[in-house]
Amino acid sequence: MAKTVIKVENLSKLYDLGLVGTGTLSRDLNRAWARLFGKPDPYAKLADLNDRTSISKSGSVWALKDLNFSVQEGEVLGIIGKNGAGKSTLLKVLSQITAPTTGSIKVRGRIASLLEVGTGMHPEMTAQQNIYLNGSIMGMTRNEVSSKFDEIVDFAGIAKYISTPIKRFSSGMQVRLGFAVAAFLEPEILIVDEVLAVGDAEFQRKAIGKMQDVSQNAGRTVLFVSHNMEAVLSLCRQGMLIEQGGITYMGDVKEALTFYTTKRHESARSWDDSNRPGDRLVRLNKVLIIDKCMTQVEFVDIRESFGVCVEFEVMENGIRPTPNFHFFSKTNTLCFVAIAEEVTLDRGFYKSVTWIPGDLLNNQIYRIGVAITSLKNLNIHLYEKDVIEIEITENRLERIDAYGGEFPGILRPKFESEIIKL
Amino acid sequence: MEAFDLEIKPNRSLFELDLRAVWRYRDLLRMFVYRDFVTYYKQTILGPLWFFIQPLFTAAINLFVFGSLAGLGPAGVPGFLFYMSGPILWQYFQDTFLKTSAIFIENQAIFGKVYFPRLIMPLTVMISGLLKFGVQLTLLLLTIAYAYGNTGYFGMQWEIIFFPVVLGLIMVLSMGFGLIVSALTTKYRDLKFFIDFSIPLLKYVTPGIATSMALFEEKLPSALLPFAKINPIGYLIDTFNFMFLGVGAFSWYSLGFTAIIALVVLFVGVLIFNQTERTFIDTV
Repeated sequence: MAKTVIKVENLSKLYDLGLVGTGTLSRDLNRAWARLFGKPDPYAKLADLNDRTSISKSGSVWALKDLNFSVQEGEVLGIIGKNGAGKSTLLKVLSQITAPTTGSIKVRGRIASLLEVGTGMHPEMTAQQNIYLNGSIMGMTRNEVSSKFDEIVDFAGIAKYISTPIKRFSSGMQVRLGFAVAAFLEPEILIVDEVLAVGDAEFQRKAIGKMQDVSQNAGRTVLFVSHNMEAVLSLCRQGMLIEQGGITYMGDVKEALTFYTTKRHESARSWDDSNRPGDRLVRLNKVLIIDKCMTQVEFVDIRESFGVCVEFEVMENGIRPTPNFHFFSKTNTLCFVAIAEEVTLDRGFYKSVTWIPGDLLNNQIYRIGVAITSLKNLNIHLYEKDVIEIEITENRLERIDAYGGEFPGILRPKFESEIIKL
Repeated sequence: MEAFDLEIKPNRSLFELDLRAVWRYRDLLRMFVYRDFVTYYKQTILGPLWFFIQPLFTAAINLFVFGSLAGLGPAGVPGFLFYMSGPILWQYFQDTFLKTSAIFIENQAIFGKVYFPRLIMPLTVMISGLLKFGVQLTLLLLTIAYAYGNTGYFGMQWEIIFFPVVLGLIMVLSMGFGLIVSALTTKYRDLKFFIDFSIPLLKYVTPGIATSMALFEEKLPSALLPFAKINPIGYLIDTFNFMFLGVGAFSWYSLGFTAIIALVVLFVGVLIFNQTERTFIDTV
């Protein structure tokens, strides 16, 4: 049976907001006073939940609030969440950089945290000296570094420059060197934060490969924080979603990602009278995605058709305003423009649906811009970029081809084909 | 019942100090000292010669200001020697103290990303400083030999065998004071401003720098005498001067007094540092 290597109980972390200045002195005195009489921190009670969009009233915020979880030996846990949700704070507390405000963490085995690569490397020192320095900072002994030295140099691919001061290195090379040292750490628990976001594509592959290797073959426990969903998906089996300082989902990584991405994008948007986009002829009221049954949806199966629905007001008789939709891929490429049928309209409120066929889009998230245009002399009444998003999903288990993986490309239409024996 | 190796808790009891962890990281201490050593004078033309140039110029200026202008030079010893020896020991104290007191501020980049026993850092500062001190001590010995050849003056005392005691005490004192201040400056930097200008000033009112301790106590208004008496650095410099040059005094009484202060300061310093390292990164 797998052992529990990390056990977190009621973990919370309180941060003071704002600058350290004269105001903080009185705060500190109040706190010291309370502690003297064994009372709890007077500012903790008032503290807000971690929500960066709303303005705090109390001046204190719970970056983490009442976290409970445990990690088993050999598990690879991906931690996802928006910027500022508390991921990095969690990693900092786990790696003992800062102490929690309440709660406890129990750990079995040696922890190494990789919140940054190449920490403490000195620009004036040579690559060789820096390997030893960085290795010791990460907790390796001199002998451990010596025994892996050749592998580290090889992994970083810098054999030629071993006695060059690293200030002469490109920033990419410095990162490779830092990661190479980290890759040969042998802790029981490895904590990794976004370090893969740097370096060229070849190096990223190497890095991910190394991490997979570490977790699968060596049976070590890895905690991995990243915004790179593909990296999380390919590395981790378990996922944890952190929102506003609390765990909102923990379990299978695919579930966690779906939970995260479907929550994140808006698939409908409406405006009230005061801020409706448009000109004196046409005003936009509402945009949403619907499925074949006319119900509002946030994601659509790749095989299904769906409709983009707009509601708008026409303020003059006899004009021909035509809704059209600009589909952008996640790489920000304009894939196509879907144009509704051109019809002459009188004053009043209208609802128009444009149907996008199934088996056309690829399985990714598309951002949709909405325009309403009179096509004759191209009068653009309104154009709202990135109004809504639609996620095209695919159940790979139901796919019949032998490949089973991702298809590249911003579109993935289904084609007719035939084969004839000659 | 499951056994865990480590428990991370909000508060740490006052005396919970993990010295074994410091020992486990001894290779890191070695690497940090090595780093300081190889990078100190990188990309300078004169390189380690700067270690020599500093005390020579300091001695020359002190000799002019205190010896010639103020006439404070102690009798019977070549002025240049006297104005070199005291400042060398003082410089070690000042460097170590000021660097230790800035430790959290200077190293927040590393401390914010990696955990290792934070005590490694002040230990690094203390040991790295010895390197410069050692080089300058060698210079002092060379100058003593040169003076002997030129003027026949030789004042070294047999008590010099207790030099390691003096060295140990100054190391402990400078690190201990530095640790206390380091903890207080993480959130409120005011103290840092205060010590940055006051420590160099303190130098001039420490016996054994501008003049010998005997002359110093003679010139000082008697009301201020108790303050001079409690300056532990003064005793060490006076003893140091006596050992190498024969000016000053050697007394187990004053060394004992200094030792008690040093241990108390170190104890308090380590306790405070140990508490501060837990969360300083939130407020630094």
